[in-house]
Amino acid sequence: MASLSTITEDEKNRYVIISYMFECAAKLRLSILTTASAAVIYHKCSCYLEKSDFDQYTLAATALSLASKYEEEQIKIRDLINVTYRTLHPNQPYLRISQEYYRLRNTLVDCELFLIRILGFHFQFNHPNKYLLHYVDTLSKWMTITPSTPIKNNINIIDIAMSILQDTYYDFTLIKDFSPQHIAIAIIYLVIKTYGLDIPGVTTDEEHINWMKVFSSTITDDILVKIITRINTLYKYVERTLEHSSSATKSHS
Amino acid sequence: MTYQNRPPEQPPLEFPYIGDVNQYERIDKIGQGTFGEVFKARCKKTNDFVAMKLILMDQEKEGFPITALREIKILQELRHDNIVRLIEVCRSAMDKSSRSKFYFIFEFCDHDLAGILRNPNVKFSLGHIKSIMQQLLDGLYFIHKNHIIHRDIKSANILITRNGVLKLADFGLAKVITPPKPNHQNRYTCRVVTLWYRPPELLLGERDYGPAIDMWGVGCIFAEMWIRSPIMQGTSEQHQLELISHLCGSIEPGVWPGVNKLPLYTKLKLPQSERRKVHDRMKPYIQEPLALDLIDKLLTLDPKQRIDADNAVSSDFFYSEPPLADLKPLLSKYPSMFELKEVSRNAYNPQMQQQQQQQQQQRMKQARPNVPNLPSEPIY
Repeated sequence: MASLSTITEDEKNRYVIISYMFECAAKLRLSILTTASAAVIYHKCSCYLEKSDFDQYTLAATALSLASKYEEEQIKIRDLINVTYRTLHPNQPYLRISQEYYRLRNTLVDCELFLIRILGFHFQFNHPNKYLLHYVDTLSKWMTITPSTPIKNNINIIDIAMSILQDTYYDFTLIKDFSPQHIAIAIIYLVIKTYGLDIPGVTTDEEHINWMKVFSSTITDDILVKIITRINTLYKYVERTLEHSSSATKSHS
Repeated sequence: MTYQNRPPEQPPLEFPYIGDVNQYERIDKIGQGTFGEVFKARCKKTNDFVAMKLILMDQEKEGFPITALREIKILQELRHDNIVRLIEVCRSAMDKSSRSKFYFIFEFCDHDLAGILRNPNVKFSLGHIKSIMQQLLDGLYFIHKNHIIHRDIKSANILITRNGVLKLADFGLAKVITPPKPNHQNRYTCRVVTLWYRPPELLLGERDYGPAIDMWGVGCIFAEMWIRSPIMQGTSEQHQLELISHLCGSIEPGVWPGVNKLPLYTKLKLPQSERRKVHDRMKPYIQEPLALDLIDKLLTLDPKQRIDADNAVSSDFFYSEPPLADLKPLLSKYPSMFELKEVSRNAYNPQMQQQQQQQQQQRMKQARPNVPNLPSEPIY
């Protein structure tokens, strides 16, 4: 297993693509769950295609299309093509209905079938989102705050935890090597420590594992440390990678 | 061997990752509908029979159809004895002009309920009927509990294996529903369910419906077990509503609060001052009073008052004498019975096959004028 505190070239490329995907998803107003599913589809499929020169942006667009259908949040294929095209080529004029458009649409449809085959029609996603919500809900009763109590600058615990969770989708290691329950717990722990929140009965650092064991009996300190290390690595490198890649494209154009 | 003779710059097209449909050998066509064709096939490896259904890709404009994706998702998530089991999804080799096709591979069931009911030699005892209805309700209870509605309940979509196990099939119109929220109205399409089994709320244009629409179909099938043909064979939406009113009484706010708010309530002509005659009209066929009671509760006009799968399955009907009877001894002695069975033992003689097909079609036409056997228009 590669080190958790460094990232490979492949992972850097993934950061760039996921960032592109999230931008498109936001423009298309897709829900966080659909966006998350699209990220998982992208990560899973791209590791089948590592050795090929498959266009990663096409892959990202197709993942968005499939996820939107699977999560019953369908978008028109024309909107998808327009948004993904404009995001990729911000300096180009709008795409008209043209040979070029039909070409892109055919590519997308073909690629959709290809991804379906790679996934073997298995689209079940077990996102950490539902675990996170339930855990925070249960925990907050014990902590006698509500999930919507603002803890800093009017932002509540759920919103902070959810945005961290959404960021974990940048990283393939976090998706493939850890269970969704463990990810959810680690994120809650991170929020609690970052904002210095108190859990009644927990006085020392070692005692935190007690409430975690209630939610998932399989979690250990070791797993927790691994996940948090990886999240920190992710935050350290994502911004750096993206800055680097955007300056590279600017100098290129 | 042939691969080696090819020039190296033209490698054979490969379709990795998912099974090839050629591992199954087609035997017989067993179904036909708007959803496409269904074949009986045999797995070359295991020799097991399977049913093979082509995924229609007519909406290629928007890519892989969301309806097919929905069907796959639902079938993968539902595992129950009374729900048809999806074995895998296969693809065909690509031909020159078109993209490769995908097929659902299901476990094979020998009969469908419509086929069995049209065969006058099959005689059901009350115990048999109880067994079929209980299995049907068990299956429906399971899918409804999982927030899924079937939306095409009819006797042709209910399969029965030769061992007497009932399987709910064809989830092509099924949908995951969201529980009702106070300030939000669902807007599903109301053009679902085969006309003869379509409940009054759909005929009146309701778009915020729920599991109750499946229960109306169960009521129709329940009565069909004795009457042996669909009980309300309307020729149009208007006619269907008239037939419903003749049987279940006039559709009016008195028996169904809020019905006057449905979109088509004022637009369609509804029979006035009809009395509810479910008991009277079915008594000559159905002697069992507990069965009549349950049918009456299933064919309730107001979907909110209609009995749900949970309550229906615990109804007294299933817990009274005679007890449930095993269907296996009754069914295993018959060859396959399908409503749209096409005999093609002469598959190598296309002319003969065509002739037979024509005869078959003619027979179908004579037997049933205006067969709205198909689910209404495909959605979207």
